[in-house]
Amino acid sequence: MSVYEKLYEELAERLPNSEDREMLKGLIEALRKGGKEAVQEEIGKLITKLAGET
Amino acid sequence: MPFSIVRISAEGIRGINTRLERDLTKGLNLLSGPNGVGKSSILQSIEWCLTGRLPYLRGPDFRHEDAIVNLFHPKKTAKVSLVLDDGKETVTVTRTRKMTRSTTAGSSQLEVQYEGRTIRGDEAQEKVNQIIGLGLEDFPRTLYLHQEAIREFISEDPKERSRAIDKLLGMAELRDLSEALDVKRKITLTVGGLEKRVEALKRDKVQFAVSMRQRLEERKKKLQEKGFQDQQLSLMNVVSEIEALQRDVVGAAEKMGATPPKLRPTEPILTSVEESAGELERTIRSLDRFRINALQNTEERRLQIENALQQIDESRRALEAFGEATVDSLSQEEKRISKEMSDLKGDFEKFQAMATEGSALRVRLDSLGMEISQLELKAKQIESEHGDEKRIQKTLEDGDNRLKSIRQRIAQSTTYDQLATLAIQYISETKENSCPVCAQPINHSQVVERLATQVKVSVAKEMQELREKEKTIAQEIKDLQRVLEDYQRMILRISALKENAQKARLEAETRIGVALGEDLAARIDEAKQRLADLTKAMDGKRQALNEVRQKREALVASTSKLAASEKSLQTLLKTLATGTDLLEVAKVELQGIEKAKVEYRDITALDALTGRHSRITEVVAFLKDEDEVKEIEAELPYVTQLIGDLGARIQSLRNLDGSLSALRQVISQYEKEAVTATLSSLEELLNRYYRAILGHPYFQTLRIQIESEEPLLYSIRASGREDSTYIPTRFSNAQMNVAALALFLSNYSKMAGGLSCAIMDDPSQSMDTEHKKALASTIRELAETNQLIIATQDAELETALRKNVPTLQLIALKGWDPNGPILNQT
Repeated sequence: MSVYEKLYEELAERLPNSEDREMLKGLIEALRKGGKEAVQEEIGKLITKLAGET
Repeated sequence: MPFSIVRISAEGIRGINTRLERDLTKGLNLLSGPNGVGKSSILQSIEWCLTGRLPYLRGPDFRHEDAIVNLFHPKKTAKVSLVLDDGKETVTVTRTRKMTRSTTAGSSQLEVQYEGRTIRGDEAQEKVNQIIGLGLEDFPRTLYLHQEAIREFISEDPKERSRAIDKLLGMAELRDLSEALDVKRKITLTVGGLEKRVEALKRDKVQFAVSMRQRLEERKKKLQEKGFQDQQLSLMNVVSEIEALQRDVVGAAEKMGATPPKLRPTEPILTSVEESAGELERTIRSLDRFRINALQNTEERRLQIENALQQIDESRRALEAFGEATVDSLSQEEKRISKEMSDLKGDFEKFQAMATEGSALRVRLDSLGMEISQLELKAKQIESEHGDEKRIQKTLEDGDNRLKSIRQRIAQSTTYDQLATLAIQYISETKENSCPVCAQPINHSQVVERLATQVKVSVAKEMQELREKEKTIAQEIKDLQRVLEDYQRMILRISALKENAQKARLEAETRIGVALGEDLAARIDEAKQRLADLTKAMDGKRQALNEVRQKREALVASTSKLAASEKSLQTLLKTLATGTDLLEVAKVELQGIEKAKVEYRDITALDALTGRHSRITEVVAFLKDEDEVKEIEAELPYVTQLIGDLGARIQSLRNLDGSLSALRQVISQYEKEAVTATLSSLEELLNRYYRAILGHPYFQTLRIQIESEEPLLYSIRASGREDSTYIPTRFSNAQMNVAALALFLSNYSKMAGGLSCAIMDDPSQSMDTEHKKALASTIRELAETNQLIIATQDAELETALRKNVPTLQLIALKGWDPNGPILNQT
């Protein structure tokens, strides 16, 4: 089991909300692929999507 | 028995270009050499081959080029093969990579060979993971102590040091995730931006619509106060008003004599109404300009007519001053005076010729007379000196006779001298004693002497005198002959001059046709007096002629001026009438002009049109505002929807913020628990290694614990028998390095699985000799049961290890060139 899989398992079981778990999964995948910067980019995209065209 | 790396083959990776192959011992393998010769490249080859990663090659610079593949490799390909052996099984792991544009781009290909099989890709990586017994991310913290890890550990920045500890504890990813989730500020800013937009929409659209509606109602009220009825504030009514005004404007134009304007039809829409209102405004202004121009033109015409009348009047009065004189009578008078002048001119020329010729003749005769007088004077002087011509010729004949006589005497004397010479010669030769002529006795010597001294001298003297006389007479004759010639020429010249004078007089008299007589001066004076009289008479005639001529020209000019003025007036009035009829026509025209001026000055009609247009404009402005308000109000449902949508987005972002905060909380809690558990499990081993490498002479116990949670920072405390301290405050860099080594080795000892190999890059940074000896002793113990691959540039450590570790295999690197490390195995 990789560090990331272990990390997801450990953290996911502490999150009661399924939507939060889903988000966590995506963020850890981003962390695996591109590290901290990739996670920041992912969250940035999410914020932009929610904020819409301002 | 765990696996060991028994052989490495590497090319095209990092600082290694051409293939480098080495067998490795299962004990200690020491890569030794100065900085920059490729030691770290060999260690990185092992890590990259097994994990496919080089975790410290990160950052912006590495994104711009491929730092894994060697720059000089001919095929631009990195290839590393490791042979692993556990005593039962031999596995060959080979990884390759083509150079790409970036360190983080592209991928590598993994191949594993074991028991005659070859597997590739994910299956091969799974086999490697199984051998290592760790996750790939655990490799750098458990099996490979990087130089960078030690440097970060001894950093003065608590955050960087805590990050280094996280890396060694396997918590770095958790820290990265936690830090990446810290976007509260960004979300707050975004939400703030959306809230401002909602506020702007409410202010600029909703509140604006309300205020515009209020303003419109106020405007309507003011219009009603001005007398506008509700039904007048409609588009259809404005159209009717505009059409009526258009008709009246056309009528006003026709009345003024202006070209009637062609006005556009008005449609019952606001833009058409606005355009028509604008067009009407321009037309009314244009009519007013026409009125002003017409008034100016009328006034100008009046002035032109009055000016022409004045010219006519002046011309007529000027003609009256000429009385009965006509152009013809004045012309006759001019001719008569000219004839008289012509007659006077004939006499004038005759006396002028007489005066001129007489004067010239007088000058000529005076000149000749003077020359004759001078010649006659000279002739008289000659006559008084030499006599007249006959006397001179007689004197010349006498002179010739005298000259002949003297020349005869000269010839006689010459003969006498010759006889004396012959006698001397004869007597000298014959020496006669008697005279040959008279026969008397002679002394020949005395005779010769006497002839020579008396006779010849006497003769010579006489000849001299005769010759001088001859010369004088000859000169006198010559001079007299010249005088005679001069005298004769003068006589001839006087005669010729007198003849010339007579001839000049005859010629002058022939030219002027008058005999001048002997008193030439009197005749000249008489001619000059006549000339003066004639000049005076001609001047009088000339003045009279000029006066008559000027009078005639003035008469002609006045007549022309009158004709031109009448012509000008005829043109202005467009009539062919003349004389008093023309003046009557002008009078009637001036009366008409005065009447027109009164009409053009009246602006009552135009003012009425302008007033009606102003009322239309007010209604149009009201209707335009009403239209705009309706347009703004029509947007309100969309604006309300947009505000609702933005509210929903704000809520979503707040929810995201809540979720991320919850996630960070969970991560923080888990991180704390995991770190606490890990540190607790490592504490005994950590202190064993710490003491073994001589951490500190007093503070013998090392403890890493959580100092703060947000952000997660660690403290490293060392304890003595009674006291404890934060090690960054009292420890040297060497002692900090020992703490880092202790943490790495405790982790390695606890975690290492199927691969017993521990890799350390320059582990003795900043250590003194004692620490190095202790480190060598610790390494010796580890090498008894583990494979170690250590790179160092530290000669002291190398010496200590060679002395302490009998199984040491030294791989000496002498230098580096573009082909890669230069090895010297001993």
